[in-house]
Amino acid sequence: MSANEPLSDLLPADAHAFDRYAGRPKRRGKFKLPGEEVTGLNLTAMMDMMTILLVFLVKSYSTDPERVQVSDTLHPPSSTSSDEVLPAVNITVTSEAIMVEEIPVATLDTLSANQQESAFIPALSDALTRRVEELKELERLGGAPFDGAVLVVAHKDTPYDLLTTVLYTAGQAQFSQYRLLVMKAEDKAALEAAE
Amino acid sequence: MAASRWQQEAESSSAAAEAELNLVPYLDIMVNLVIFLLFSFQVVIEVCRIDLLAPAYGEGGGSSSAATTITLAIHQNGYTVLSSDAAMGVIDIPLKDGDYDRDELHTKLVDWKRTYALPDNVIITAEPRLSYEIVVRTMDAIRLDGHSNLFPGVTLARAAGEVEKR
Repeated sequence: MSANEPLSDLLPADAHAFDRYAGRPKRRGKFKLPGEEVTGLNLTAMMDMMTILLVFLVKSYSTDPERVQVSDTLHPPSSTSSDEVLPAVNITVTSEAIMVEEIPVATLDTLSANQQESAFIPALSDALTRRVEELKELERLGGAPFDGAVLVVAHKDTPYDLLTTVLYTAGQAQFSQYRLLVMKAEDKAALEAAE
Repeated sequence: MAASRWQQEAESSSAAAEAELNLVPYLDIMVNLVIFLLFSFQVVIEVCRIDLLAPAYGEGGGSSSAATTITLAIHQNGYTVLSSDAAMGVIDIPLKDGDYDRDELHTKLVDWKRTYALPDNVIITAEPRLSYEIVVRTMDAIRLDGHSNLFPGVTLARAAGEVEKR
């Protein structure tokens, strides 16, 4: 090829050859083994994980005889006692209210005004009496015998007079076995460390 | 033509055999359940119980039995231990560094119990506004002496003036 040769002579004879080259069918990639190509998400592993999580959570629910929801208004004191909790009628005394079997029966705001006159809580007595009647009816129908046990779950800052008032009122409602629910000392230390 | 139909049937049966169960709806349920349980899952704490003896709101006037009654009063200035036997005297344990001296209370009661062969029961009374936590810690201090019982039988009582209001 000389320098004087016209430029048109340098073009290929077929001017569309490059377009054909660019539009040619692409070569397939390398050969893939069977199963190597992702055709869909495999959910089996995720199902396994979910099932394990679900079983763990349900098991945690079922093996907890006395569930105490620790909060700012209900934080039982810690104790070195090691006696396990036995089922009984629950009286919960938070820093705001008194509850029987998780049902509020009196608030401490209204109670403090009336308590000046009497160390007896009528609303609590009514709720406990109803509960006793239910338990005795269950006993009559073949259920567990009524043993007169009451479990008091109280906030650690509960005044002593309120605690004794609750116990006295329970005694008036035919309860004769008093139990206090407290946190195990090492658990409270762990909880405070977590907070 | 017949061969073609046979081929189609074979292909369709092969596809049915290889079809997988659609797990997506099941997975939806599982995810929802796990999320619900995780949100409603509370801090699991180990709890225990303390038994109390039923208080006797009687007329008072002293017990007819010969057993000595021990009364532990918790007040702002510390502990005071009283006995129905006047010869035993009174134990006063003041606050130590602003807190109740439970170690001293334990030591004194151990001495009393060994010296006078006291029963296992004690009556605790406290000031009305005293917190429940202090009462529980006091009960811990007097419940056991090592592995043997000290005063495990606790009755919570109010001072005479408080009871009379009732």
